[in-house]
Amino acid sequence: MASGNFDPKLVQRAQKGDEYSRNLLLRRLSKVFDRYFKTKIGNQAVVDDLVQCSLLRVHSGLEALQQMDKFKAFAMKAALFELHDYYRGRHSPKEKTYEPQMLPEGRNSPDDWFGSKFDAERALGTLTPRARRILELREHGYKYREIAEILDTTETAVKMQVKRAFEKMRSIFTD
Amino acid sequence: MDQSEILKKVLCEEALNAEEKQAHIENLEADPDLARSLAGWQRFRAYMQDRIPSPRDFVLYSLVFGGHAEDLSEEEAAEVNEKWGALDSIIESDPGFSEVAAQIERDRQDFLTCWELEDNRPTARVLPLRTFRMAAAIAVLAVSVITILLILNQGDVTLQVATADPGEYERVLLPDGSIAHLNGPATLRFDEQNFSRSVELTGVGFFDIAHQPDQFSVQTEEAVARVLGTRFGVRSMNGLTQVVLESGRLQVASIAENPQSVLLVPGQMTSIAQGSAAPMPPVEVNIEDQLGWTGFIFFRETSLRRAAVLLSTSRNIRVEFDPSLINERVTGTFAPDVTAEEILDALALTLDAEVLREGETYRIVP
Repeated sequence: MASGNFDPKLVQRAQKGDEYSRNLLLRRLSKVFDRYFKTKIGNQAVVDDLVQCSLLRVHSGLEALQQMDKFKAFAMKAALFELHDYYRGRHSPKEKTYEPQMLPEGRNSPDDWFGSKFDAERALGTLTPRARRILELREHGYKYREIAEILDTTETAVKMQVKRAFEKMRSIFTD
Repeated sequence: MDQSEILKKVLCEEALNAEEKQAHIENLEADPDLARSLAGWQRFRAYMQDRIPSPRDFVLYSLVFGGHAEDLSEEEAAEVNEKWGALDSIIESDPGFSEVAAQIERDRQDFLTCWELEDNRPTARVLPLRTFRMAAAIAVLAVSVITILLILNQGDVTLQVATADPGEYERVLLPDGSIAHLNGPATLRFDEQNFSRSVELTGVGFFDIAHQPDQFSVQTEEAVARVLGTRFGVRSMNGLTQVVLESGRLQVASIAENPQSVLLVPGQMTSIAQGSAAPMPPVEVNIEDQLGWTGFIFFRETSLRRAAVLLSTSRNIRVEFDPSLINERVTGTFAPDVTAEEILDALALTLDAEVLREGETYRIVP
């Protein structure tokens, strides 16, 4: 019994190497991915990239799929992996928060100040739960605007919390 | 220059202009404690980033955490089980992670919504016939994009206006789940926020109405069509409205004073001229021909030979079939944006046949 556009029979034929079925399946899936990423990301170029990467995941992983009726979950995970890889990749504090040319002469990296002596847990302890939440969401790759939406506040308020967190930690960093 | 504002920008990874950058460098040189603090901040952020799980681990964990362990394969489930203790303690100790897990749950729901929209799109379907070897009803999803071009706020009414340019096709999903297929030039207006199952149409539309207790109405400048759940085409142009019913039952009335109405059954058509109080008496029509202006392809117990011709003509391809299938008949409805390959795939599944492609020629074989 066929069911919808992603009939298990179609998935099975695609998995067995039938080129027509595989192309049809991926073409249909690309519409789901495109619709999905458009709801998540505004930039069409990024959407196109995410669609292609998700299709590639499905293409390369299809042969290992054991239960055809799990194709929906299989495709969903491909999209979620790509989306959260993208979120994580668009933010890298090691590269963006501190440019080497901004450091005083002779100090090329934070290690020049701290070496192996850096008590991150103590610094973490100075954070309020809300500030910690903001920084954790940031490390997951969410933009400050998105964090503000998640926490139901304004972007300005979120950024102010970041600055306050820094001010609290200064005494630890300069000990 | 406001040093505090520049510092906030640096902390929040905002770009500095050349002037701000120079001011910041001078400030760091003048204040070694600030430079050391910023280095510590960078080190701390890197520490924060290093301690969070990979996106893949986190997505899998969040699916299980959200009660969707069935979404994981056996291998993935084993992976998560192995790392469960570590992941669980991170979630427990860090409030931000549980919010990301909740966000992943929303991401999952959004994906499933997109999936359902594509998987169960009712714009094309093939119904079983006794001549089919495989008595299966199948649905083919159409390729389309909903384009809402304009939103007009008129007091408490939020009027959505969807348009299709000449020669273009637009599929409009209405708030009650009904679908309007516009074959341009066409314009559809409806109240998005307080949808009362009522739309206004100018031009050509084909409607797939979700069945509900309340009537659904389509109004043109000449007529109003009222239904509960059905599929029908409306063409309103040059002072004349034509209505053709594909399935269900449909009441069509004039919007003139003292209006009269007629009841259509599937395969019937009526028309109303501007200013006329009564619709023309319903007449039997050939759906394949009379709804051609909607841009849809209709097969109604159509011979495979004719279906191949219709498909070849509308999609500009060559379709052949094995002589052993010559007595087969097909029934189906395909929206304008359903590709030839999707239609062929639907036919092949219904006939328990295969589609072979040789260059630009498609061949249906048992």
